[in-house]
Amino acid sequence: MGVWWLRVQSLGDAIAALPDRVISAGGTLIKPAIAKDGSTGEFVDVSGLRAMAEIVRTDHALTIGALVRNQTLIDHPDVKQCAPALAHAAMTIGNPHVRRAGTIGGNVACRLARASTPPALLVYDARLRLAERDGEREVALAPILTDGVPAGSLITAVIVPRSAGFHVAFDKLAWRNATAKAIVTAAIAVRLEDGVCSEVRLAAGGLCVARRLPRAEARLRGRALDAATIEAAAAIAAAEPPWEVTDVPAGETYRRRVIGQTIARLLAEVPRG
Amino acid sequence: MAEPGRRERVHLRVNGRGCTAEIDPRTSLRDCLHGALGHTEVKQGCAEGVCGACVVLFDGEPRASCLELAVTAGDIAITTVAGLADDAALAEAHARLRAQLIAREVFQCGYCAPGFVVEATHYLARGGAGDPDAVRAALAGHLCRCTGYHQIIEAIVAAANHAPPPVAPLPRPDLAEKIDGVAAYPSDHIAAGAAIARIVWSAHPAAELLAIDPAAALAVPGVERVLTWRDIPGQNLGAENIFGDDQPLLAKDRVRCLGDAVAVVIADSDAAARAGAAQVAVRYAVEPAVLGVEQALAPGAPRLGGHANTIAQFVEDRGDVDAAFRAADFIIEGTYRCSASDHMCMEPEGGLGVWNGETLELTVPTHSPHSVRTGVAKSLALAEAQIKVRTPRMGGAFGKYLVPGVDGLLALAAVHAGRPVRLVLDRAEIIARRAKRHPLLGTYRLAMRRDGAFLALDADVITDSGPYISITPTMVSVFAEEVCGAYAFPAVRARARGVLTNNLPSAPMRGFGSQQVNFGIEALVEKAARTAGLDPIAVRRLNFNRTRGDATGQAVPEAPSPLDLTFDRALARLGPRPVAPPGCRVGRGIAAVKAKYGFPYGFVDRFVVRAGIDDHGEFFVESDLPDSGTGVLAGVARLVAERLGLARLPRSVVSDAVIDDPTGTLIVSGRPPARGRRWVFRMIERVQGIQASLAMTLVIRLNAYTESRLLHWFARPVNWLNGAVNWLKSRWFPTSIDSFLPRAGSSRAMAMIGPAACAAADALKTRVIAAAASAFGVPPAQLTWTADGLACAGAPAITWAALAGRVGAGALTGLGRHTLRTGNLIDTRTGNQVGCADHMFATHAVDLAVNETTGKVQILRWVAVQDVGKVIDDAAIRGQVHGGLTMGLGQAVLEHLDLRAGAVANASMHDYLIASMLDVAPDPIIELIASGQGNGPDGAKGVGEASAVAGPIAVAHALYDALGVQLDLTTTPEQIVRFLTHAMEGSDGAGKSDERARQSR
Repeated sequence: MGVWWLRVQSLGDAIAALPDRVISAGGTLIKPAIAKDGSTGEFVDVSGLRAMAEIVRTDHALTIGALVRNQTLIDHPDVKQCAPALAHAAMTIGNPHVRRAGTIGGNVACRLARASTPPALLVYDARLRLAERDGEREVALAPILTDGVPAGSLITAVIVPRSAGFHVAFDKLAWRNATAKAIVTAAIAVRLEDGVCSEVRLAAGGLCVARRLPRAEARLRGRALDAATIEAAAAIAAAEPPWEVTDVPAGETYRRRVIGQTIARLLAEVPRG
Repeated sequence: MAEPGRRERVHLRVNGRGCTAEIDPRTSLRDCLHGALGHTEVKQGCAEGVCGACVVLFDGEPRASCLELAVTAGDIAITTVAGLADDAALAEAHARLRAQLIAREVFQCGYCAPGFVVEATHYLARGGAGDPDAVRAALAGHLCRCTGYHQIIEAIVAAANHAPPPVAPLPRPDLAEKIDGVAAYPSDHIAAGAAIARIVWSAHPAAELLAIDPAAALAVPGVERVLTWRDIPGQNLGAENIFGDDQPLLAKDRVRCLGDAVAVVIADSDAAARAGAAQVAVRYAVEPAVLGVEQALAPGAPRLGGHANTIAQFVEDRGDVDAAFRAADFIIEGTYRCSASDHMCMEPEGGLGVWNGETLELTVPTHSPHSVRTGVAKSLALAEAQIKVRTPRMGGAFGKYLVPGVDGLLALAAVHAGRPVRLVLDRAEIIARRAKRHPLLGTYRLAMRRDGAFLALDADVITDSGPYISITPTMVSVFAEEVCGAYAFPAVRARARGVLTNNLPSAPMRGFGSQQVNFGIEALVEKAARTAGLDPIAVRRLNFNRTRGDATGQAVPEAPSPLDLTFDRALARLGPRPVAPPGCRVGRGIAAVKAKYGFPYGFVDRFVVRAGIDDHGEFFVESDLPDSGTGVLAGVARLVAERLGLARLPRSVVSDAVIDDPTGTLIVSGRPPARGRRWVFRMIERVQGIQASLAMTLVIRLNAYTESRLLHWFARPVNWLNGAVNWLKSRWFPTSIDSFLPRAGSSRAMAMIGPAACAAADALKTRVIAAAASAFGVPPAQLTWTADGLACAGAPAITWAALAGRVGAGALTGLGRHTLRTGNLIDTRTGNQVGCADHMFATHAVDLAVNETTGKVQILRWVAVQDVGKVIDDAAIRGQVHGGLTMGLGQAVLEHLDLRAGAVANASMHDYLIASMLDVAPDPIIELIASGQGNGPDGAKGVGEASAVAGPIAVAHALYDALGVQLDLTTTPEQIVRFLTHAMEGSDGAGKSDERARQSR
């Protein structure tokens, strides 16, 4: 195989090969594009790095290797137990055979507005472990989604903190029930103390790459989840994400409306007391 | 960097065997398996992981092979559908599944079958539950365009529960081939060392073509030729067409739509061909484009052809319409649009062309092999005898291949390449560049009495042909004929027109226009009843047209009416109105259709079939009808088996003799006709072609309401001449067929081929007994026909194989033919053609829920009742009904073709949404009525279209019921929400006009 497709067997080799090369993990986006467009780029294939395909559970967090397949997120007992909304998000990806190919690292790194797991990871306050020439470091997820993985870095794991006391929920709208692009995605994580939102995280995708909704969160924080508060926060949430999408079916007005109403519904479903 | 033209050696393990291929390193695993390694059981619909057709096992796990590269698959143990039976861990599950699939006749075209079988075998082998929901979740990544999924799910559930397969009628031989992946479709025809052709498409809907510079393309390593119009040796003819040769093979001076081909690139690999196609430099001077029918008919619109852009026009004017409107208690107006949609055949369009210097063999999907052959002969300046057109089977058709496709470009590439050429389009090309279903714009006024009785209809329906005439006049004929739908009107004034635009060409699609035109009238009737505060059901019953056209086109009263039967049964099965799920509105819709099928025209319309026994003593039925997955061939095989009392179904064989020689001489005598005879036949067909164009020109020019008397006088000599030519043709060529019009592609196939096959079976029986009597020296009276052979009084029985061995297989054939009664070229009153037709009757009733936030539609209940004439093959007919209503659901609320300035914005299977198994109604109720009133054998009817015609209309009515507004067909969740938002904000659905603009096809 030529140098254009470099299959690495160690993390060190991967890092050494990184600059100027596109990383392929599950390859569900890259490989068909190469076959279709005859892409002449250069790639580093990290799918052989078996250490990156494990899920480790501790008291504080679930560390999910970047190469863990999306289907595994659905089937794995630790994910189901510690991050059920992430399992739900994974369940909405494509279809079974695509989920068996795609990885969580790829789902984050591709930075697509329609990606399913990022909003769920955002409200779990997940962090990423990056491997770089100088070693590994942990970074917050949000800036990576916004700005991309820094050049020369490789996501090796997604760290999902245990979210005891939070109610976490995810939803995605697609117009077909299997293998359809998300029109919007939304996720919430809420902790209620004495009926009041002590902590709240909201995230949405679809209009743009998934991002947190700080203004809507601020409207909720410290307040009871009554109908008026939810309505006000949902209205903010609907207006908050920037419109960055051009390639997909639904228009901006529709998506904003659905995001607002989805967030409102997820909030209304938070168990009280 | 991967340089174009470079090859790399890959080693793969497939079905337990190691194999090696030299490929372009950018080849997908699927293409490597399919092309380089000959594993043609690995199909491909989308090339992006959406459809599941290419699913194989990777180390035991189902994965889409289109999402993998061959060069990265070396470590994987790959198992295709062909390897399942040899895998110890899978063989038992596979056998269990296979038995169910065959007994239940699950697949139709079967192109998706190998992917389904791989995934389902994996599911069963891992002990998957026999629960429909679990099966749906596991199989959701597989799309099927034909079956509607229901029977597939039932079969897998039964296999999971170890249920015995149902006692089936004689098993269909084609099913095992499809399920095992043995069946070869046109795109599966691979030749070693074949060149790859790719098309350079027009960059604009309308432009003057200034220059084509191939230099940069030719500099791409691996690119061999770039063909333009200059390389066409004969006529620049894109489609052999009875109504006019207006479509070029390759654009010369201008492009007229984004579907026009500008050049063809031939290269030694697909990657090189793609790179080359991207490098062909084409200079255009962009011109204003006509992108809708209103624009085409507006004063001052650019002239694209026809009579001020009109290429077909038929009128109906009977009764005193004006008086009826004056007397009416209610006048209801409505404008309805049925948008274009994609056929979405699962198999990508294309095939293989092989030129050996003498003869050209084209393996392509087509319903019209004769037209393909004639057209290619003209454009390549070859004799027709030098061209063979083969269509073994098609991975879906739905009417698309009634008009010529990329066959001409493939043929051109083949003669220039000097070696076999493969041309198969990408899904994106198919959606963005190839023909779409005819859209329809209908403007209606209805006069109604207070009690709901209809007094008059005033209708104007217009369809968009795209830039070429194609067979749109035939489509317009159907629109004119069916403008009243299932209803009787004492007075009618109607006009149906076809116009030219710069949109993509239009092609027939399942229902041959019936869906579009029935949608309009049904929507109007629903609106009328609701406007007047009457019960839509009672209004329908009051106004049903309870007559049917007989073989002469005359209306005869009919009792009991199958239309009423379907209507009453559907209502009886519907049950109580469902309760709205949270956040949803519910709606109920009922649609009754009476739709004509058959091409009504005034020519000789004949089908020829040969039945026979081959060398091995196996029966076969031979015709020029390929297997397009409609089940017609299976039905015909059943008819013949029933008639001859056979133990196995006869094989269906595509007859080269009928395709190669439309005069009928070859199939009758085994020898081609003499040159003079062939020439006379072609002259007759040429005269018929001139008559058809002349008729259309006359009708368009004379068919203004006030001038119908003129039409009357001019039409008579045309009809008279046509009658004389028909008479001569039938007299001189009694077994000839019409080679210039599409062959039996639609529901009419059963009515055409069925009687011919029965006649062939009878002829065969007579022939066989006579041959056996003489060969074995037995009096014919002592021979008794049995399933296994001829029983002989006082002597051992003669098996079929023994008989074939003794007399030679060639002697054991019988020929049958069936000629439909000839109609007239021009109805002197309406200008329409008059021909033999049959009607489909169906009622569909749908309960659905619409989510008020998202606009998404969920089907709660679906009842389909259809008159099928005769139940020849219950499972196959039900499959057609399921498939039709699933396609209909898509066309109602999923399959929005996003057209922006003439270009399709959602040209992928990821974005153009055909229904998945998670979208369809969970358990549709299907009832078949056998009225015995069809034109087929024993009253059988075509069954494949009614469900696709009635289904989407019922969904549209249910949406009307839920939302209180009538939306266009196809609508989207976004359009539904836009309406709901406007309604809540107190406006009157102002968003609708924008939607109109977006759907203006």
